[in-house]
Amino acid sequence: MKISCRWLRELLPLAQSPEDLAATLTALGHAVDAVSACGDDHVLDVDITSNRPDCLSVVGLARELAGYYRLPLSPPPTEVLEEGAWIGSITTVVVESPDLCPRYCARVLTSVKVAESPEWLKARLEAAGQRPINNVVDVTNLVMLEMGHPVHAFDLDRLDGHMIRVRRARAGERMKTLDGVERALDSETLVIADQKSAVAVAGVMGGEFSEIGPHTQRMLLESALFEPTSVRRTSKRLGLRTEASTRFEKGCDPEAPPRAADRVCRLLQEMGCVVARGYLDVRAAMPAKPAVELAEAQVSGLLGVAVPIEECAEMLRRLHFDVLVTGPSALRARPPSYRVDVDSSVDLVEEVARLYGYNRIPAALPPLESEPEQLLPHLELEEAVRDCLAGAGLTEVITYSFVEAPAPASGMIPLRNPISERTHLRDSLLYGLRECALHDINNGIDDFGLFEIGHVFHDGLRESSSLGILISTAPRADAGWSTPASPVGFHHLKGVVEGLFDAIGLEGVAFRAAADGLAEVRHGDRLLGRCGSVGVGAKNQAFFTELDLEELGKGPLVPVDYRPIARFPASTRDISLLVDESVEYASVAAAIEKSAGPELVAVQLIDLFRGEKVPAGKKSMTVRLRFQSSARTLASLEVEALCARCVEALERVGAVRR
Amino acid sequence: MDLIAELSDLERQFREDLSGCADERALRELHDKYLSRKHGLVSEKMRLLPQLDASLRASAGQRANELKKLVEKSIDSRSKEVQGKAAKTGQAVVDVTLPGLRPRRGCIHPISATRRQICRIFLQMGYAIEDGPELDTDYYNFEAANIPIDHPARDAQDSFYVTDELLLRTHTTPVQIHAMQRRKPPFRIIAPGRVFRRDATDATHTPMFFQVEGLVVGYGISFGHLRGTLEVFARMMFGQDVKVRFRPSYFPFVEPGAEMDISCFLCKGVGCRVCKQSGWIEILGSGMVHPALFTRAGYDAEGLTGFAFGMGIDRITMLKYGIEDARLFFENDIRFLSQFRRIR
Repeated sequence: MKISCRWLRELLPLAQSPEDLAATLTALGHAVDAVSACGDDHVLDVDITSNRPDCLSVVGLARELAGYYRLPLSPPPTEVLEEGAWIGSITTVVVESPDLCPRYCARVLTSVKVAESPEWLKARLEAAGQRPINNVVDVTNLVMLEMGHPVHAFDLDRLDGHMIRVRRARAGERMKTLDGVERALDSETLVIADQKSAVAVAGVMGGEFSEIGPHTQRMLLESALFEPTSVRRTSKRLGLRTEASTRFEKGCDPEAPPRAADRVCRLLQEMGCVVARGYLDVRAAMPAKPAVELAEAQVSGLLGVAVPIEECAEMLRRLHFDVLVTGPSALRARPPSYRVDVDSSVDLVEEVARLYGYNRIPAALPPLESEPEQLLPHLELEEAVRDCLAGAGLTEVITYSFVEAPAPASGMIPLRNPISERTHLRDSLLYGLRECALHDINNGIDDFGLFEIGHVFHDGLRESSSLGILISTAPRADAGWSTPASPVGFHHLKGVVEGLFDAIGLEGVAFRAAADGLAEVRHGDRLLGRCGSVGVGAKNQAFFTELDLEELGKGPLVPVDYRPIARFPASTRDISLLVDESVEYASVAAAIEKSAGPELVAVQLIDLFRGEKVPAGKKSMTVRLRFQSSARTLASLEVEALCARCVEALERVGAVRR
Repeated sequence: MDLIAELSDLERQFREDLSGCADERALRELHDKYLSRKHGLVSEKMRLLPQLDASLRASAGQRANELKKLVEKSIDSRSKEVQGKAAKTGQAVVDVTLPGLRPRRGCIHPISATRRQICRIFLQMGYAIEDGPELDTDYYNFEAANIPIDHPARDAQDSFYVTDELLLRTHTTPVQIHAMQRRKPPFRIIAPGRVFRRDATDATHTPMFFQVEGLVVGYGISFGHLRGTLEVFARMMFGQDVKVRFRPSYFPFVEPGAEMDISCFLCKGVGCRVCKQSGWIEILGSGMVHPALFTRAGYDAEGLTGFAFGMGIDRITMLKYGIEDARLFFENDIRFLSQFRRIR
């Protein structure tokens, strides 16, 4: 909100510079974002938090400054000279929905001459960022800025029956608001109506028909109180937020309506209007705000600094609380009517802290009462995965959790209220990774290697933590001068994944070919994820894997398993095999592992080729076996015997020694 | 055979062997053959010296030493010859100025890196890290945090719903509410994570961003402790000379509420573009936990107090490294991401 310093000075004898005022308001919780010169005045741009609607006005902020600087506040004059007829003989007010309108004050003005506003009034509105319209409307706007209470002026002669009826709208009722938009109303909407139809949306915006214009001679001034939730809902439903609605929905001062009405009358009287005698004040029983108790121990306990109760009382009185010190270390305080935010002792503590000064409260570290805890295993796992993959040369990305829905009926969870073409919650990290890869390709980078860790969402509103890796098939562009870079294949991705499993201690993971061309990554009978080739854009291919981090975390993750280094030398033997194309390496390795016995410590595939010297439909595999005993040096003959056993077992799976 | 004659034979044999050596490796082997401490032929002969008569020992010893020196010198000079030849014939010489062959360098996302930094600071202060779902109920996201339906504070946190009840969390407060239900005071936790708000996207707003929230609950926890803790955090995160200030603010789940500003580390408080000429940068929201949250968690609120705080990881990362647009984080341009690979 924009506040004129000169205006503040009219209400308070302030000697401080605009910058000092800005610093003080900020320290009181009303952050001043900017101080700007406006002619010979300065305007403060103040950020008022939503719990302090009482500060959405010059008087409101002046009250705060008065309390802080201990200065007397001179409120704007509200005395009016009433003339002529009694208001009750001109108009009536009927409140049919007191639950939504606990108070409705009305004044009538005659001899209204609608004209351009005087210069001082226009200048004041412009400084606050408002456009002057005419004297009547400008005065109502001025009073709202000044006192914080929204008021509305009706052309009395446009009101059917010269009366006001505050009621809920009828089903199907329509009304054109001041902005020229025809609005459909419903029975949840509180309206101000005349005898026949709605003339304003209560607390939100007036209607076009009863608008003040050049023709206006008599006006009815409304200064009312509307129920915050109702105003808020109406304003949301109509998509219409106004200066009035933002104030009403946060809660206005129940004592303000007559004062605000008088202030408007006073200013219009100065411009030649005649104020009819008396005012109407229709009010429902409103329970007074209860007094709040505060003990000295609560202040010191919550703030960490002792403030004597007398001092607390003095501070609260400066803020116009009605304070009674009830004992040597306790008080009872009734907040002023405009402090809709105060209803418990912690609220009083904040008031004390604000005036005491947040930055005067001594800083200390709290005593460590709780025992340190282990890191959550799944978070530790995520960090290990990050380090491992970044170490393997991959780049971590973070993409939006909502994505454009692919083919219809994808089973993805739709957002009820998306704000872009990203309308669904992702069920895979592939969408985001592919987008990143396309972005890279468009920038001439085609050797991307990316990963993301994040939640994905499944049918049944279930979410799980997932790891996605996308590696381009293109050779690494920055490989250097030594060897020609080779294109990336499926087994490079598999190598990364295996390296990851090794890093986190997950043993016994198997890759199995699946019908749809993507391999399954399994641990026993659990599916950890899938792995395979995907297209990126029209031209590029990449390898993708997605693993369920929760399944990975179930492990079992093998921790450090120390064994002494074997003292006896190992023997290695290479065996070249001729194998049918259809035979998978896994069955070759399994045959060896099953038959060789405990002396076999490692099996490694060191060569694989097809073509020359290998019959069609066959492939040649060379495996290196490593034998070692922890008890003795193996004799050459023993090793040969072990090899022979392997070869025999290999023949049973169709692998013949070359 | 006497030792001196044997040494002469050995010299002949050595000269023969030497003539057959063409490269460095052969020369090294030759050196070992004659001079290796254990098996060297010359060394073996020298070990026999002490068994000789004193009269012979001196002359034989002299002869042996001469031979040893001859072997060393000959191998050395031949070695230099071989090296020179190699250089002339263009055999491999290491060009140490060629670029090194580097393994591929990856990196973690700047938000992940900053989150780690923040978590590390609080871990050092004895905090536990909590985690929770991104889809949560209206109750946990709003109601339990003192933001009932129709509360004006909901305006600042417009949310994405997937059902009447379920929404993408707008802050990590629901994680803390779950943790409060599970834990018994005293405890201190932080909750980092993704959050979602229906904000129009611009340079400082993205519909998804990251937060870290913290919560300390115990007996005798005060606003002074909040100040002390967050000041330590600010100094560890932004440097030892950073100054902080607290000012009243409003968050429905705390009372008193406070916003923490840090002195602008770019202009040192003089005023610049980053701090909007104020010398201060808003960094986090905080406050003393509202007693209603304790009651809702089923705690006996008597004497129990706590403080809470929350900050945007994206915002802190932007401030710290001078990143001008929050959208860059989720565009994932590799030329952007790789610049943050040195965050520790």
